[in-house]
Amino acid sequence: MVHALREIHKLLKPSSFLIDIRPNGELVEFIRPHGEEEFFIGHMHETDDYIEYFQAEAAMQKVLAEGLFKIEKAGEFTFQVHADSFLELKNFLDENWSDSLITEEVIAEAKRLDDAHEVGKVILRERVYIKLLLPVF
Amino acid sequence: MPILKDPEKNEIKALFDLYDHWAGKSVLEIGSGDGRLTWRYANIVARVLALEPDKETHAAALKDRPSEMEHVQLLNLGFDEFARKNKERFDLALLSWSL
Repeated sequence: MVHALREIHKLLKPSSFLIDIRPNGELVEFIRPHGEEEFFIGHMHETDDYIEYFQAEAAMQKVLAEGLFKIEKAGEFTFQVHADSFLELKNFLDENWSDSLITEEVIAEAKRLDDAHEVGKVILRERVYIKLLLPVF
Repeated sequence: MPILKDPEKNEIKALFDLYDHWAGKSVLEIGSGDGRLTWRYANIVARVLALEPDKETHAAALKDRPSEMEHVQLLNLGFDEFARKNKERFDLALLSWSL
């Protein structure tokens, strides 16, 4: 990714910007909304322990240290995926998030909540970095 | 109800909070996926070149492209391959969930 960031720098005009959007590396959460409340079901893991998130951050730190870019502005936001049921969300993740890992404990907690409150909406919640970077020439 | 990604539109709000000089800009989006984010900002810029290396995801973006988004150029290409051949320079590069 360091190579890619160096190449991006070459593709930018003077007075241009790079915007970097990516998960912040915290564990992704399964949430069960229930009226005004919400229940925490558990975390989603990845088979590689989200290693690519940390590699991406290390690559960004490297090009910042090299002086290729400087951070103009940074923030975070919450990104959510909504499903009508835990099963629907699990099927979606199995198809679209190849290294997602949902533990038996999480599945059991989702089932316990379904049994207690009927099958209901589930949210996958993650925190995401967003950064505005100025290329330095 | 189908799976809904970011129905709160937090992503586009964060993007517009971060940067607000989009008008007339040329944008290179790296990792445009199914176009979820692309369609939300492309109407206010002059040009978008969107790269998505996954063939199926790229096909989904082409299929679902809104009619008013014809100015968005969608390429089924990885960034390295694109960078080797490209001569154009851009006002903005958007590294979109590209780890």
